[in-house]
Amino acid sequence: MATQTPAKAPRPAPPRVDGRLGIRGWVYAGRYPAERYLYILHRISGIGLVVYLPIHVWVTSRRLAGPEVWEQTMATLRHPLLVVGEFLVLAAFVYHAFNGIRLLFGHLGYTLGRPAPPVYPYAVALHRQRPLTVVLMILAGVFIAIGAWEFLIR
Amino acid sequence: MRESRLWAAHLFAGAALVVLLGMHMTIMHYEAILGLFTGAHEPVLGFAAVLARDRSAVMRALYVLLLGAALYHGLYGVRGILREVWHSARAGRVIDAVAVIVGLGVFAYGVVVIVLAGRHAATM
Amino acid sequence: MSATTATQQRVTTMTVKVTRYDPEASVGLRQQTWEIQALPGMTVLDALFAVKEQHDGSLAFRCSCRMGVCGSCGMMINGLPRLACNTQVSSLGPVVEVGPLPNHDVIKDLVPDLARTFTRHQTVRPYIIRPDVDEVEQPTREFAQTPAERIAYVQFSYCLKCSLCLAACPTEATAPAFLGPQALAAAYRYTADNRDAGFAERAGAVDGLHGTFGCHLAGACSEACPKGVDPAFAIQLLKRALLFGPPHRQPAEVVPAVPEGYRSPKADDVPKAPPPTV
Repeated sequence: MATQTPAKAPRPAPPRVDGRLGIRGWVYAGRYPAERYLYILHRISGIGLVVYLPIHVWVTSRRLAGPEVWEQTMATLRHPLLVVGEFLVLAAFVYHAFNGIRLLFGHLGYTLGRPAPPVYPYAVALHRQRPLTVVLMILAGVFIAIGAWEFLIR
Repeated sequence: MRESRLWAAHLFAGAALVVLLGMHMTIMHYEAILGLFTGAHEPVLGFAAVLARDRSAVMRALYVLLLGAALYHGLYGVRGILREVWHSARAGRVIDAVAVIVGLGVFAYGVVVIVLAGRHAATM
Repeated sequence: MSATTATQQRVTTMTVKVTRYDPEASVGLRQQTWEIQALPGMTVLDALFAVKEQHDGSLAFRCSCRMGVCGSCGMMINGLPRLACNTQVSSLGPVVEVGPLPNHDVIKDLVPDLARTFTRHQTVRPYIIRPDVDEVEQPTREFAQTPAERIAYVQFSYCLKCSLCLAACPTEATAPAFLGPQALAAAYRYTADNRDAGFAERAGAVDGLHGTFGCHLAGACSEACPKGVDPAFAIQLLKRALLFGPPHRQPAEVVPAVPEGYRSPKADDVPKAPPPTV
């Protein structure tokens, strides 16, 4: 038989949908575990603290201009909105520090237990860290509450 | 430089910050509680209290350490976040460079302020 | 007959809501809903087959083993990435929402493109690397490994490459350059294997911002893993290895196999097999 199937040009690849979630994938934790929510808070509090740091360095440098300028700056900072902002900075630091302690141990492979034979129901290492997580989060809550009280009585 | 070294420094700076920034925040924001133990009731942000802290060389050294650790830890973290959003090699180089420049700039400014504050406090 | 009646009495209807994509139609993602009969023991994969057989033959999904070992049918089921064959519809309530795996290109309907998962898996050198190449290629003896040394890596070796962890990972959501939990867990699986000597080589592939240090311990990957591989755990141990060195310094020794004619001293204590009964 002399008939030959003519060589077909390769079909162009059909279009695809990019399923990448983007930033939404960071900030929406849906039905994932508690640590996934702590991750979001850790990021947000961290970004807040970094933005605050240079502003704080500049504001505190006002003391070089003498006592009058300093007291004036401190008076400006007593505006209710700025006081709330300052409390948020404290809360962000307290949370970031206590969650950071958990992450410090976790990142180095401590408090996560040891590898085990995979027998159903499977163990998840982060669940072994949960007691520490709960204690640290309670401590963070207590410190934030005391901080709020200090801001109220000031 | 190997990323693991930079990351280890990030962890180390974080651990240092828990102590240094913890102290700073305790002095600044837990006045009433701290006053129960030390008996002090002078406003912590009054100019006299600020001068007293500036006069102490240990305090000034701790401020420099705190500033350095906070800038490194914070900027390393932000740089990681930004590089997850803009992930090309070129964007990575730009973000790294900006982080280094901002970090060194704020650190230099902060150190100048701390040194000058020490001199002012000594004359008053 | 009575058995059939009993089965029919337990029949309830359920709603299957599928996020679909037709590459030929250029209308993007769309939702489609069907009502089907929920049967006892029905998995999500069974439900999709029921839709395909009874309602719409054009519904595309990938599957092979139907018993949770091939890793083909990973998809988003009621808000979590899971294997369709491993998920009972009775555990989900009356509405089952199914969509393609996030963080992957969608080829059609519920079929994600897993090519990038496989190529990234390859970049971490997921195999035993040893200086004695000849012994690996043409083994004459065995590499000594105790049961405890095997436990150090065996859970990480159960990976199916189903890509569920990559669908769950928040870093993966924005950074395509990230190696991802699957490849990094595979890197630790070989790092922890005492027969391996390739840590320095493998570290070059994983020691980067978009490698091991793109992991921030959100733990979603471990929650999604259907095989208990626990990628988040493996990655933290990999970080420790990158900072403090691998768990073992020397690769396992090559030990001679049992010599010819060797008989165990306890062999005489083993009772003889009973005579055949058939």
